[in-house]
Amino acid sequence: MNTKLLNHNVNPEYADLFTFKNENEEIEHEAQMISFRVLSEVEKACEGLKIKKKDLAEKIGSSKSYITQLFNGSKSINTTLLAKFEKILDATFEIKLRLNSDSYCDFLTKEFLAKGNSLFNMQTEGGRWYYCKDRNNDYSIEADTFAKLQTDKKIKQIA
Amino acid sequence: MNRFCEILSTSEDGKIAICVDKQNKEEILAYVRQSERHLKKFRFIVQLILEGHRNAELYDKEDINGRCDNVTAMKFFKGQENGRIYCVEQRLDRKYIIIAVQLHSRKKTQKNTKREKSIIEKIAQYEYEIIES
Repeated sequence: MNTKLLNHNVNPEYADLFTFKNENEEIEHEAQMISFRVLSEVEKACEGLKIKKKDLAEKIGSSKSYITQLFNGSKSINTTLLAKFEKILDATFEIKLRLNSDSYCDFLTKEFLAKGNSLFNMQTEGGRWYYCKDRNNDYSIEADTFAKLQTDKKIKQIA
Repeated sequence: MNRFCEILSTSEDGKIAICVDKQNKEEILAYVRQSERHLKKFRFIVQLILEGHRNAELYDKEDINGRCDNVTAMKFFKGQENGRIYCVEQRLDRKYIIIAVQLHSRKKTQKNTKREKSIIEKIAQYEYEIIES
């Protein structure tokens, strides 16, 4: 289970399911995934605000079938549409860039430390626990939340 | 009812896995591999699930009753051939696993038919163990 495609781990026996034929196909896939990630946030927000897709369509001045096409990937989002979503949801999209050279742990740790928090770990009979301290609170994080940190030398240095 | 599944792919943090039912593997994978179009759609659905995104047009619960709230469906080309791969969501060994269980290559009506409800109710009972492929 060590082949890495699409930023996740693929069982090598089924690598063909997740392997792109060429770079163009990979870029097309990633472009659509960016659209899906944004739309996922829109869908979650709409569910929270109890806005149906039909209402969303009305508010952006389009049809329900257009919204359906956006969500099923037949149409792509553009920045004008993003702005309309922000206005309807009274929200702002936040953009974060994660370097692919960073491991998931690197990313989580950078995010955590960037907020001025500190992180250290402790081995107990019950297993390894990670304790976090931010400006206001001390709290512990379940070991499995940061399971990969256990083998990450960078984290041990920080700890 | 205990059944077996194989892992296709896991999320980067290892907490979510997409699996396939051992018994129905050939049929499900043949459906996914039948065309580039199907493969592309499958990759999107898998990546959406593994990254924890929401998209009810592509993957959602088959909420027919309270006994089946662990059953979901990967949706292929709604409004066209309208294929489904029914899935079961389950916790196992600190992982959240989504098992592609049964193919329904053409869903013809918007509401679930008796036959579809019967499939969903049946697979809701399945419990899985992961085996090495």
